[in-house]
Amino acid sequence: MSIAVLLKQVPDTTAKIAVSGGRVDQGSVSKWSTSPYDEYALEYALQLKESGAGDLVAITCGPARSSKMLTDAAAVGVDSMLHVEVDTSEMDSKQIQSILAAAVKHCDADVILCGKQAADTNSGSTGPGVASLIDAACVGMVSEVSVDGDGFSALRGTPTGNERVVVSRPCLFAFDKAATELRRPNVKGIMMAKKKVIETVSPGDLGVDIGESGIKINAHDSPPEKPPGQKFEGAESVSTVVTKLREEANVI
Amino acid sequence: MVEYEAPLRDYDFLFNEVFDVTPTIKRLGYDFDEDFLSMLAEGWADHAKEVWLPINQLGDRVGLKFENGEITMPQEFKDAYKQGIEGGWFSTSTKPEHGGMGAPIFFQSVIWGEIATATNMAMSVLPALTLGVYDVLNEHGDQVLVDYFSSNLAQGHWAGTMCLTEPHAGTDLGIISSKAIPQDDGSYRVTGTKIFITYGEHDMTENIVHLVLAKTPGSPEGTKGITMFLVPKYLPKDWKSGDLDGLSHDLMQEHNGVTCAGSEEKMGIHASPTCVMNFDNSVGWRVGDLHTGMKLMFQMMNQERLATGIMGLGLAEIAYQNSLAWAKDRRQGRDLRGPKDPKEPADNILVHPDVRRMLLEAKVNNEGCRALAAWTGILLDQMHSDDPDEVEYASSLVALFTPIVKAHFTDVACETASTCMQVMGGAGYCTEYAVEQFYRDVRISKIWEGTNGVQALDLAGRKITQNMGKNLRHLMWPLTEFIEENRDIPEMLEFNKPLHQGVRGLQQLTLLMIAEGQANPHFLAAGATDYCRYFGNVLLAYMWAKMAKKAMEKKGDPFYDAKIASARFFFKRIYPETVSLAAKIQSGHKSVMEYPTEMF
Repeated sequence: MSIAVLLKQVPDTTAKIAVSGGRVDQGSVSKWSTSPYDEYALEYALQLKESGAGDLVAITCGPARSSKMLTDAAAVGVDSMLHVEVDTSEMDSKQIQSILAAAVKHCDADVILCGKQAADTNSGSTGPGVASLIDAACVGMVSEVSVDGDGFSALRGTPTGNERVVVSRPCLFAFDKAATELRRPNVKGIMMAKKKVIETVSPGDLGVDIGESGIKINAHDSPPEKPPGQKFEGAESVSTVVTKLREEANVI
Repeated sequence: MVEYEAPLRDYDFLFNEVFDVTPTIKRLGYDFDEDFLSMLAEGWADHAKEVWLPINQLGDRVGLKFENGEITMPQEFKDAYKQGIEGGWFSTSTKPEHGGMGAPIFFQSVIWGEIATATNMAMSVLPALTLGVYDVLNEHGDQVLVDYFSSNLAQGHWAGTMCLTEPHAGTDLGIISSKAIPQDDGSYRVTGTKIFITYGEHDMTENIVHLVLAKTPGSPEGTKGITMFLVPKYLPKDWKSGDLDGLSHDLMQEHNGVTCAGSEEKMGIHASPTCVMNFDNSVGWRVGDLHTGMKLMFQMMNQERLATGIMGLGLAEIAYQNSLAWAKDRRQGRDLRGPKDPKEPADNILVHPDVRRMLLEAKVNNEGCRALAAWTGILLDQMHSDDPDEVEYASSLVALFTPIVKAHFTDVACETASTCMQVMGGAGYCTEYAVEQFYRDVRISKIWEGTNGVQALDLAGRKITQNMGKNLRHLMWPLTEFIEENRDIPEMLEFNKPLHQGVRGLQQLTLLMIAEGQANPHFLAAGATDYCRYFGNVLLAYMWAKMAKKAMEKKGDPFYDAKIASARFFFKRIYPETVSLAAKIQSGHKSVMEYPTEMF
């Protein structure tokens, strides 16, 4: 059995997003990156692999451009990559979960790590959905995971603090932001990644009938523009600032 | 906070779209594709931004410590250098058998170089020099020397320097007095003093490998009598005499008679040691044949000249990015045609034509220089082709471009850094904002590796007539072809026509320089700097016309539309300086040379 990390390629957080004809114009996105929470999942997946928990496969489903993200993951140490090449832009969460669950089974993985939500859709449903489909324990809001005997020990945030839980296989960890430093690819890793072959399949190859999307996106809109910042100078403005912080920002 | 984003989108445009590098590099035998290039570039950009950039200002303010003949570098620099070795970032283009990655040269020379110097110029010089020593050694050193030194140099564990200048011999190396006395065991004993030795002494690496120019007894006078020697700071601990075959890489405690007598206090690059080095009966080995030292050193020097030009680009880019970030936040005055933001007390300074002019000059020169750097980088790889015609073509163009890349890029970079300070007004002059550091750091680039005046003389006096004029012919062929191809394309007219005029002007000025220069060398020398700048402008014009042509294929996309607008700015607001440059060259040398010397 092996470890799988589920990665999603999203517009980079620094990229400008243009909306055209009621849809995000994907062609105008200047830079695509791995979704930030997924990066923490990847880091801990690498740590689990290095602890001897199994070989690590990186899985994504998305258009052809997503394969670059898998090669990036290989550059930091992922053993193999599976790309379910499909246009996911009009799919609902359930369809994507079906594909990923089939991909996890295809890779014979029983420890799955992913981000708690993707930076583009923010739906937060992939981790719990996949866990449900493969009948695995699901631990959300994880900020740390390590091998603990035959199972795993994970630290997860709760509204009142942190909670440490122990789970056994099969299990899925959905990652929040973690305190760990993310590793950067080195030249040797990049050269090695270049030689690794990505297994590219379609949902049909995995035996998945994704059916029709249950959700229809009517339109994307840009968020309203943020009001400009306000500047205050001199001691005489302190009372104004305090009033604004209390009454407008509600922070004191 | 210092801003910097590596221009990865620009590299993608240049290497993949304008120059379509992949087929060329694959043909040269590399296992290479676009994704690999982008991974290497992104990987290095992340590393440099996260490891090198945060300590750049610290290096400037704390600098290095010279005490009792030893130089101590800031601990942060030592840690960052170690991380660079661990990441393999100093060995992308060195050979796999030496622990290198064997990637194409253009990555290390252009992309690595620009990002390295932008994020930490003082640090960047060390691996760049080491790579130069590695290359010369591998091409010309005896196998025993190659075997002993290459792996440690290739991976950055040991550092390299070039030791040319002496207190009385700078540009005129023919009068150096360093001596090398042959020994019965095949080695030499080298004695002499060298000055301005970058990273001559430091504690970043276990050993420092100096390439020293010296003369053996009975050598011919002048540069023809100079030989190159490899002199390590430390010898192997099991060395007794003779060569280094099979010896340990553990080193002696005592140095090899190589001492540092001091480090210069400088205007910039405070964390880059500039040393006075004494070689006192130091054990060394000859590199290459007797009396070929100048030729070999010039191989390394030419590599460093290209690196210096790209260094100018790196600093000009980071200066631009920081002045732009500042300008975007700064509100002063109103748009002369009426307020742009009436609700604000003042408009953003980007409404002011003169601020826009300054920022555009910086941006457009940077992007033009980057394009020429990209082309030159690809030619460096083509110089290693199996096809002799391709080698001859690439070598000719690299020879021609080297003084232009060095001089034009660094002249423009110094102007750009100054202009970027100007954009920021008083803030630009304050140390809180890093642009003043970039201005101080970049200034050396006009001076070292042969002053820009020397580069201009090299271009006008040597490179244009070298190889029976082949250097120039290899340039004129693609230039003329491009002009012809685009002659009847209406959209290209605004770029192609001035390019054609500039090329014709260049041909006329070249003939003038050769003809008048033969009759009177003062004519050639007095016009050389202006000729070099004219040439640089024509090459950038070619680059901008090529970029505009490519960008037209994707009109409507903001990135490509900006490229066309930048090309327009170049041809309207930068390129016209060729008219005054031509007038200055044509005016000849008399106003310069007939001025009474005693009145200076």
